[in-house]
Amino acid sequence: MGLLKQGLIILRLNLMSLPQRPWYAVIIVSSMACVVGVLLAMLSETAGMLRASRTDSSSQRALVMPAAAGNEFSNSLTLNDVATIISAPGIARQPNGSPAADAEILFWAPPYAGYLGGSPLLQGLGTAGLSLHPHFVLVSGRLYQTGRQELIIGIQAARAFGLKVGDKALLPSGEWPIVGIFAAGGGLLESRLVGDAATIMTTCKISGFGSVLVQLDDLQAFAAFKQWLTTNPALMVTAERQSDYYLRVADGYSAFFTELAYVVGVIMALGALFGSVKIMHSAASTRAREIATLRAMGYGSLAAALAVLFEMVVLSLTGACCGAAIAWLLFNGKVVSGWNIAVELSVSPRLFLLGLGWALMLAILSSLPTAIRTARLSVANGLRAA
Amino acid sequence: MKYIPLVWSAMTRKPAEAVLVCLAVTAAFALFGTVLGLRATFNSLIDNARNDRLEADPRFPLPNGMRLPLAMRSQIARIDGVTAVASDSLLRGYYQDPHNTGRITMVDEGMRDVGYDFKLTAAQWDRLFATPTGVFLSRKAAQNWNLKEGDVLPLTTPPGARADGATYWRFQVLGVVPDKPTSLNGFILGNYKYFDTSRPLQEQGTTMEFRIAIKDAARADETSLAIDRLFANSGTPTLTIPEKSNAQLTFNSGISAGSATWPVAGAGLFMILLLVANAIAQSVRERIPEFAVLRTLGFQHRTLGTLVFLEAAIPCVIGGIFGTGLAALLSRLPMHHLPENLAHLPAPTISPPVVMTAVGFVILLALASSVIPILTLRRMSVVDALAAG
Repeated sequence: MGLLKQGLIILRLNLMSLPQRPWYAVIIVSSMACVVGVLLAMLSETAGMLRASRTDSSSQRALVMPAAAGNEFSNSLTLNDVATIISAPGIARQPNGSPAADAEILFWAPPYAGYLGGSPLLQGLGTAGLSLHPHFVLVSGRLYQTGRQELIIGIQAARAFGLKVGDKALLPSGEWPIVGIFAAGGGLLESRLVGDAATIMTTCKISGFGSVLVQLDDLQAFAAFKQWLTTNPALMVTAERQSDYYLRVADGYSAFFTELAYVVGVIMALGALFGSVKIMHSAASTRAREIATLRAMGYGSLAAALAVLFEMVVLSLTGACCGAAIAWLLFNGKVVSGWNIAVELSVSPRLFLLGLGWALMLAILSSLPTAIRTARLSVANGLRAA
Repeated sequence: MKYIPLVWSAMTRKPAEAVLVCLAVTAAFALFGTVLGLRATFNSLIDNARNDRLEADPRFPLPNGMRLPLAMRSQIARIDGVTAVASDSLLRGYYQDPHNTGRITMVDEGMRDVGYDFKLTAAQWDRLFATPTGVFLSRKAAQNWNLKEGDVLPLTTPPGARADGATYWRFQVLGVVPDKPTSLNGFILGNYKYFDTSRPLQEQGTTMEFRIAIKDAARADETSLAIDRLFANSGTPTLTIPEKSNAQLTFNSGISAGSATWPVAGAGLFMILLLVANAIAQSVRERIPEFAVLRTLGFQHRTLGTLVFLEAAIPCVIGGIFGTGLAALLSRLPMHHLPENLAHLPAPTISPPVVMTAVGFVILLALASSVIPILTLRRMSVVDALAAG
């Protein structure tokens, strides 16, 4: 206990002397801020994707898709397939007694000109669709009416692609007006246009559904549900928990950028590591006398070494917080868009912790050489140092 | 030249610290080279895509899947400015192991005129269209699957891909051809006619997309719109995109690698700038009496400034060379030996412009980090400094 106490006293002494050596502190704090800031900024797109796929999905819901496609985009499930799928065991019931299942379609409906700016995906929901998206709330305008050629748009899609109530989307049967804007708890649905599946299919001559979303009785019902579907000779489908499927899609989309972020992060961390070792090395040489004096007064060598480590940890974590704060200010909540997706960037608490972890690891690694040198310092030589 | 020993002795005063500074600068320039090189790779993919080539895909999901009737070809060919039309369909399957997936691009005669990026000779095109089961592999594809001319390429496909109900296609490797700059993982070309007649009847006579050559690249957008308008009210509306726009869309979506380049490279350099500047400032501060002696001996301000600049420049140059070298080494790594998730990263291109930019920033870094110490030396009072020493 004495060791820790001594270490903390020396740490306090060290921190109080920081104003006399401002550059030392500035360099360590700013290099950690650079490493953590860049890492978090680059990971914010992945974090945003993951958050969107997590918020509006549940492992108690399952998505049934054609086996050959393995995604929601094939629109090749026939009405017969859907009828068979919703008779599978394990599907929860709606209050009116019908199965809590919804056959949906999903495709991209780009405008004739201006598609280079990107435009949202269009999702057609069935009658049970909205109840299977529990976070759904209308923000402005009104809901689409079954049988009428109209759509509503998610709040993120509206922001990312500059669409509003009254704008039109191009479909095979002509231009459909957008009549409302909705929120869905930050989920994936928010980055899409939504309309009535039956109306879209009949007017646009689309003959198949892309997927069937079902609410299961409980978490354990999935295995039997999937088994029943995949072994049914009348069907060629696969089932995935909604949460797993969304994560798989998000991973696939953001994999490249995530890899790039870690490659960049590792190279920057190496640079910061060498830099910190250098700067601590030169600081320790000039402060050898100070340390020797403390040792002469009876402070232990381990305590002095510990103080070196503590000081580096304090400075690094300060830097990491600065970096995270800058990344948060610049990127958190910003919506970026590509072809047909809109992502709200997120510098999440998880990312923040990741940044702190990196800084802590770098602090320990970079202070080790100096800490060891401090511990082995000979008091007599140290006192003689200029 | 005669000052080299002076600079050298200043640098080697604290060898461990000098080496650490060099290493840190190396890391910064490795980062710099990697992100700039990556951008160069993306830019070359965009630059190599041409604006006088269009791709027409189904605009909306179609009842028969995403397929366009071949009959559209003659209608597209009649549009003003269109010089050639080719159909292009993918056959997806796996080779030997279900995880070893790949696809064969099935092309027809039109691809001779449209497919500028497939570097096949006239004789090779002739062989492809004369051999029903013949395929040409690009070098990367041949390397990935370890195939050579004369080999048999058996491809397993999901049920339903063939009219005879089989799940197995037997192709003959006719030869290995150069890769195309717009494709990162190589390609395999097959004979569309054979593919089409082997498919189930309801799929025959359709294609996944058309590739179109036009006379005037400046009218790419206009011609694309003309094609889309022509089919707007048909059963199969199209979405036609010039290849260059397509490449731009692909590589510039989200917070893309392109838009992240300068912030990342800048953060890396800023980190190093502070470090190098501090190292030089400290070194000069500790040697003020030395500089005073040099002044007394008749050294000009300019000479002292040069000495300090050289002292800053040497670690920057060393780090710049090694760092850019490391980035170049990274670009030559055989990617398929890396862990699977890293193998997706396209290799950075350390092109001459990237190297020149790195050289520019090495000089800038040395200048910026030595400017304050040089100014300090100019204001130095020789008498006080000598007295202090």
